[in-house]
Amino acid sequence: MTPEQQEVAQMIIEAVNLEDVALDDIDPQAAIFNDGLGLDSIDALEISLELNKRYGIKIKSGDKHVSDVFASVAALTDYVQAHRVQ
Amino acid sequence: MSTEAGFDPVHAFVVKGQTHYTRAQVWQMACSLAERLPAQPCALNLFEDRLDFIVALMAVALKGGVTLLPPDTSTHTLNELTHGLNQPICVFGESPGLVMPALHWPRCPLDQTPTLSLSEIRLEVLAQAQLWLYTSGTTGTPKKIVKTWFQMQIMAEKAIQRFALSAQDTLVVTVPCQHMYGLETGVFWPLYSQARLVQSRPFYPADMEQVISEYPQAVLVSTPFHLKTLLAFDGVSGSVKCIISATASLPTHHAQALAQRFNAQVCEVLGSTETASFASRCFTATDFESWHLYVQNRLDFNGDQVALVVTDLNERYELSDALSAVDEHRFELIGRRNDMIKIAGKRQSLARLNALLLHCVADGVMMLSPSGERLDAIVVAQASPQAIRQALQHYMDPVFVPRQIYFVDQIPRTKIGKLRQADLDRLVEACRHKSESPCN
Repeated sequence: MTPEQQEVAQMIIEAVNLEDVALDDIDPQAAIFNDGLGLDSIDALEISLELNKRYGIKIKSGDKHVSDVFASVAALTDYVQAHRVQ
Repeated sequence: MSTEAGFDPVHAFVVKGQTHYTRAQVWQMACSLAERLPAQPCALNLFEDRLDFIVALMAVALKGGVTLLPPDTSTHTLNELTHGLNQPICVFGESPGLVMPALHWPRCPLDQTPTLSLSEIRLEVLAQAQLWLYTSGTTGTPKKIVKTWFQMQIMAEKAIQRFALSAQDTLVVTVPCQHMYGLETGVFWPLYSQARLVQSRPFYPADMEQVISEYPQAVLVSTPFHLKTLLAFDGVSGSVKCIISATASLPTHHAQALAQRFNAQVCEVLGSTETASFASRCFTATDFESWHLYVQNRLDFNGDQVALVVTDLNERYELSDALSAVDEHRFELIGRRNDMIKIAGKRQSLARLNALLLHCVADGVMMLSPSGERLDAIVVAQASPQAIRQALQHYMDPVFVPRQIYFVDQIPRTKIGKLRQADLDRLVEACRHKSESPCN
């Protein structure tokens, strides 16, 4: 994982309290929801709050690519780098 | 039956982006779809898009059919609910893994070509069309609740009168249509009033922020869970006419914060899948006022039992809530009768204690300790157990203050903020197993 991906993975772990998951366990290309980390829509809501708090990013379900944004740690990291305002 | 309201050809009913659809136009789409459905269809309506959902719901009802509204869309649940049905199911929406034979409508055809004059709609068929809803599974398997279109309309008209919904109002609903609360507020309230419904279902706080700014003075229908995330989101403000919350009690400090931030009237509605909403209460400067029954509803007290009597439908529902009457139209909610607990001879409702707990922690739930003599709590909080106990002393009799406090990162609530019994049981077991020496 790149340092940026590590930062995003750490944010997810903290936002949704994945107690049993270590940073090294996360495959940056694996799905965040369902099969991968097994997160659900409420976790998405928590992650969206954290993205707002840390990076000033506002996720909207109207965004055409919201499922792509949350596809994997790698995809989310790219999105954060492109859209962070702080 | 005041049908005219539901066919209003003038006022906007559903707003989708820049496009407005009147009630008459939406019925026309439903007529068009109905022509393509089998007689007396049995349908599973899984559409998330509100306009699609409404058109499919109406179309099935026009054919005198049944619409199943599942509590969740897991393959297990869908197969459980459709098991044994003796005709192919019309499935509206995506439903991978369904065992029963089905006619699939992954998307809703929104065809407005007139196929039938609205005056040809057989109102007696529509009135008796059935909607099957399911209780949320707090007791195990989903329990089927049958409602007719007519019942839904009458229940909605009471709420419309209570909130004085008019052509000036815009409803923004964050709750899915498949739940009774979402079905009422996101379909029947706008349909039988002149209020307009925003088609989108805002999910993320940024969605809510956008819709609040697009539709100033909206009536925002949501849940305590969603409203809490809205408050946690930086910088969301704006002007909302009224915020309506249900499914669990809204903590008074959240009600106060919402009222101030959005300059809104904050109300709660009370109901269940069986009864639909039947009473409401509003937040005044510092607290909620008493619950007020909608018109033509009354309570029938018989010892510990309370029944809701819906006089204009000639129906009676035994309530599982413990209520005390204030006067003929008003009451206080003491809690769910079946979760009254007794500690050291003192009775209290667990639902009430759980609501009080939320004054002191971010989220949490209380349960009887293994001995059955004390209460324990599982909480999401930063504070120490000692500090939490101290804070709780301000809200409850010391006998109810939890002796063991387990810390978790999240309480596994459903999309609408409820905690299923099975999930709670698993959580309790995990906490007790993991923490031989809890943090206190």
